[in-house]
Amino acid sequence: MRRLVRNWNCRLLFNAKSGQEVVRHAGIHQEANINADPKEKKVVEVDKNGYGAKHCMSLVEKYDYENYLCTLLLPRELRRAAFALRAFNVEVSRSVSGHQIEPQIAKMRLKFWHDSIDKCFEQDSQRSYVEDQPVLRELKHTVGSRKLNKVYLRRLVTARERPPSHAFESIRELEEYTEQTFSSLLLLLLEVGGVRDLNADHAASHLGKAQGIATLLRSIPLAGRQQAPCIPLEVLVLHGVSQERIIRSKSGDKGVEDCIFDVASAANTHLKLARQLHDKVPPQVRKIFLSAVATDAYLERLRRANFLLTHKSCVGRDTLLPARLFWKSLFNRF
Amino acid sequence: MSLSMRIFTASRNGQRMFGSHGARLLAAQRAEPKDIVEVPKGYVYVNNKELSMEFADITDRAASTMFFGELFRGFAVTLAHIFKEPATINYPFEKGPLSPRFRGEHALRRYPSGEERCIACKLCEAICPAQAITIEAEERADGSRRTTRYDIDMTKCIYCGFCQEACPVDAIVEGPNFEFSTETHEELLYNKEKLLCNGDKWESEIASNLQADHLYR
Repeated sequence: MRRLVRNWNCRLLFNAKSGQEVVRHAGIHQEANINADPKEKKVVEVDKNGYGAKHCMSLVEKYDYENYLCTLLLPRELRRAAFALRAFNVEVSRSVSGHQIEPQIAKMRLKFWHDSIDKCFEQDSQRSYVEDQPVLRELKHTVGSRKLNKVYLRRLVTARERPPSHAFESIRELEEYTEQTFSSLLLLLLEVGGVRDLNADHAASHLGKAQGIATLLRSIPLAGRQQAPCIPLEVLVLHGVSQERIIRSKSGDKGVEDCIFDVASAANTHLKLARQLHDKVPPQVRKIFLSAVATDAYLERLRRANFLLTHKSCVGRDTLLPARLFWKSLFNRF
Repeated sequence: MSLSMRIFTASRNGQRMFGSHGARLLAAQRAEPKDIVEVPKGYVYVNNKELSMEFADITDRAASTMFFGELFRGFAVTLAHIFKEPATINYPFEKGPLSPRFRGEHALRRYPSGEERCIACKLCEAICPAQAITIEAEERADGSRRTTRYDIDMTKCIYCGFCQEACPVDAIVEGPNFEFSTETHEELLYNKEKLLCNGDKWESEIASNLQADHLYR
């Protein structure tokens, strides 16, 4: 099933362009690099036609599978730009999570991405590293072809400067964080689609919050002790639960269930608010908001699992999601 | 329980399982063996007990000596070990398990298109606590800014993995290879060709070690 989806989509992405796909074995390249410079120049020129887009796709597929599926269902003219933005988001997010240990090192990486945003907006960035990194190359292409707001791109980076060991004080703070990261990304996607609509912005803000909270909840069993669990301190205090108990996540722990219920219901409220605006947003935007389906599915699974984060159904991939997304996109709903 | 384990336990505990049981059947009113010395109250004597001089026990001991009881039990232990899984591995041909986060020999990676990942941002050079990395970069004819020199002194390197963590594009990684001993010091001063070559050689392992499913933050 997965291979089918991937093949289908590689074709979707590339059938529009004449660019030759370059699939080369690394070994051949090595020879080219070491031996002859002119030959290598040719290789790079050829690569620049299609490789960046492909790399962005595979990056999003690997690190953000659900949004990968959602992005695939976008109209063709938006897809490449959307993948560039999503891939950039993945890169920034990975700079501060995964098995990063030193907060200082994470800051260095974030600074790199922060500087590269400026480089992407410069006209004569031909002489910088932007052209050499596939994701940045695609981002620059996107920035060049659409009108994007630099502030939103910067927010993706600056919001993540918050140290991973720093717990959220309140649900409000959690919402602010997710709005800065996930809603900014949705707003950028709206800009890519060329939509300027107050209702769409409003829906994006709510949907981003819902999606962000769900993602953070989902990362608790995966990230373990590498980052503070996203349950805000006020919720923890209210139910008298420690962060350790959240991480251990024993089934049948009433306090932990209550905490997760509180946070998940905050996400659900935002999701509902976003869906209330369903009829008011312009129809071409609805495909951008497809990730609501994935968020909704996760929250539903969490509810069925009795708010146990480590339940089998909540940790693994959702096998029905591609079909569900396709169904929704067929009727242009979210 | 496998057959070999059963033989093994039987031979180890034969005395206790069959010996004592059989003796109990033979002599129901068997006397408890006595301690050799006088033991004060509240203490337990844990050394050898005095051998029982009951006739049945003397016969048991004599039979055990005459039929080489200990000898056969020893053979049984040896036999059982033949069927047991060995605790050692055949090292250069077999290798033990490695953590996906193992930090071994360095490698410079490429994108699947063959493009070098490294873009000469020099973050690894800056973070390296042992100052083992030297980078020089200049523009190439096609305008791309790549490293002309990327040297790692493997004798200075302390394998802390900071370079890998600092790299924003996942170019420099510490791969799973730990067998790179050399005869001379000079061979351990790696240059870019060697590192890229390592990357090509170990790419599949490195890529599978960098797996993840979805965003954490």
